[in-house]
Amino acid sequence: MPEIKLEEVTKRYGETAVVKDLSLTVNDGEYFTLLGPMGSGKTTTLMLLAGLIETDEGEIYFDNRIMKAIPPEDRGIGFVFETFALFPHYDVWENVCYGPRVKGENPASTRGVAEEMLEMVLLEDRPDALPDELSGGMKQRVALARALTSGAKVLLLDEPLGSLDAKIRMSLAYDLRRIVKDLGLTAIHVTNSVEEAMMISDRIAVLHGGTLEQVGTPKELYENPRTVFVMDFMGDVNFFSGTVTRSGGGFTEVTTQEGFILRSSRRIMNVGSMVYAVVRAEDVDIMQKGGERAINRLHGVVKDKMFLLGFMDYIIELETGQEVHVEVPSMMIERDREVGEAVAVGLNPEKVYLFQRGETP
Amino acid sequence: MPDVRLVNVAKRYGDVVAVDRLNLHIRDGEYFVLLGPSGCGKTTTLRIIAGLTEPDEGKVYIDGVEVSGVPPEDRNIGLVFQHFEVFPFMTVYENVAYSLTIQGMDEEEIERRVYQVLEVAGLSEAADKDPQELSAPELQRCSIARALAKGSKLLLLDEPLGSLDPETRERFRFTLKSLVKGRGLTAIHVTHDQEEAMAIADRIAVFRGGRVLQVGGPLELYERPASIFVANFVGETNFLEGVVEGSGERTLVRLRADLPIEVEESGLEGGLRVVVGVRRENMVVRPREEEGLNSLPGRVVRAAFLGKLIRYRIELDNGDFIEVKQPTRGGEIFEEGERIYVLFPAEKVLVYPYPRDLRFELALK
Repeated sequence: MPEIKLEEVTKRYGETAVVKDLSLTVNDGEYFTLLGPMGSGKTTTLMLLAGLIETDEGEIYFDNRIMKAIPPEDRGIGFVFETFALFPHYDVWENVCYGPRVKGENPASTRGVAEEMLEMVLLEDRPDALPDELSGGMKQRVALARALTSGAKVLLLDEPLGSLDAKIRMSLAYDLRRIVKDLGLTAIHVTNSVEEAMMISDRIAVLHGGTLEQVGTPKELYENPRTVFVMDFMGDVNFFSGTVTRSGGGFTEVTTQEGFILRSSRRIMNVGSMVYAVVRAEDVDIMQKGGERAINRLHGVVKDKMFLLGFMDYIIELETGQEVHVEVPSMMIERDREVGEAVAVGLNPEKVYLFQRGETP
Repeated sequence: MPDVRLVNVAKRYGDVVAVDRLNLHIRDGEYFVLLGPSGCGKTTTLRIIAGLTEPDEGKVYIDGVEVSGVPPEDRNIGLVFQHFEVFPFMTVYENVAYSLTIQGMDEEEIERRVYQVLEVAGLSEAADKDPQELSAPELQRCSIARALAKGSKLLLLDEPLGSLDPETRERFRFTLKSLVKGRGLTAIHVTHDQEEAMAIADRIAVFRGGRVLQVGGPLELYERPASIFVANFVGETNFLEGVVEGSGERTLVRLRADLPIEVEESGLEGGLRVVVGVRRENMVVRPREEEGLNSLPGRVVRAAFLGKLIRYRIELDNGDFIEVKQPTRGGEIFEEGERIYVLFPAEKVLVYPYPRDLRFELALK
């Protein structure tokens, strides 16, 4: 049921606004992620939603109800932190039943819910284990079960996978999403990991310096980043600074500071505009050297290469000294390139993104 | 110039064997990674090489010289730890100069050396800053500069990227590797992060329970993991149980519910119980079967769009679950609930005899 809305919310610490004029709507039943680097305001936003801190300006609504003056325990939320915050001297069962017990609820009625939650997090066979006997992933699943036994419909998660190994993180991300969907919860998840956000979310809000850069599905953010920050933060990209020197016929032509001519068919911009032309590493083609220097075809030498599990990552040093990252899926490599080999890199005009320079780099 | 050799090195703590009669040869100029889950003995091994821990048995040779009894400061090594070892009350310059100053080196020589390593570490501009003014990656550069200042040719790094955020960590891998290669150093780097190891290493030793399970280049470990543990720990692999069916011209393995797949490995006895492994990125999802490829029918349970790749979780018709990482480029995108086939060639199937304890082999500890 819970739809969550932030309306022009601002939070200051002294002079510094850590969240600025933030407006967002999280739909009922949505798995929503606040994504951003350190200092982007994502955790502060989560604390505001939880009612652990108060807004300076703006309103927060849960199902159209203003949350100001409603304490955390009455907001119907479950909270999961990066560090599992379990009681070390209580076993799994006691940890999970803790919330209802301190609220003075009848243990018999709690029993059914707690059993259901433990089953949900795949720990039904470990009710007697102490936290110390469990792995990190298991502890976090106990913390999740505990957050849910109180009947919360909104789940707030602050870097819940942050202290886990990459592989366990992935499998727990999958479980988290499944549980939220099965129980029909609304989840708001904070992370600085792009991969995790993409993996788990229906929609993502990218935050930067306390303001909202863009909201969208993982696919929308990837295919149509609205700002150069979003594009840079969400992937491995190559930057070229330049000026638009031709425009028309469905193309914008940019002359870069190094003197390359790059053509983009993604966005039409006026001649004279100062721009960044940005291309993702996985969108660059690596080709045989030879032929003339041409538009969108740059010459260079393989400076280094790294094998990245399913991808080969090449660093190409262009004649100008600038480096270009290229990522090729292993199964699509026709010929591996050696360090020192002369090559050409090709930039597909449809994959050259243009952003006005000064548009918050 | 230094190579490092460990011969029958063992270390016990009470009843716990931390390092179990280990033999390793790290070549001169090599970027070598000790990889394994926590408690596998990799850090103990590094500490033994550094002289911070005495082995109970065995010998360590650095550059051909046996070093037992030689204290760390006389082993001519640079040490870098996860937590940035810098003095908070000294500037960057003073931090880097510290070890040279206490050696009594003359001022001019110190200045020359310090500025040289600061430049290499990309910190020339920050010489007069206090550590508090530095970002996490700058602090780590500072500790690296400090380790390099003495001119040691052997660099020992214990989870050096562990306290950096994920973005920076990836970028820093390149920095670290080119720094080591550019100066012709030998580096021994401890990590539990297999992706980091694969990206940075010339060769990797995979540790578990105080032993080395396999040593090899990244591609070798990836393409020919010698055990289920290595196949699972390094990279991502789908494992399926099956039984070998009489070896004729082609070797077949019958998975659960009798699903047959072809494997390349020959000489397997009919009736042998096996575990087959296929890398998640060596499978593709397609709408129909294809001639000449193993084709397993199933249904998409979850399709996560990750940008350059799509991650599918699939329930096969025999009830097994697998995941497929498919490049977005040049592929069709399938929705959750769609019926599909998972395709993979016989030569990409790894085959292992069914182990005594499969859960133990698949545990990441």
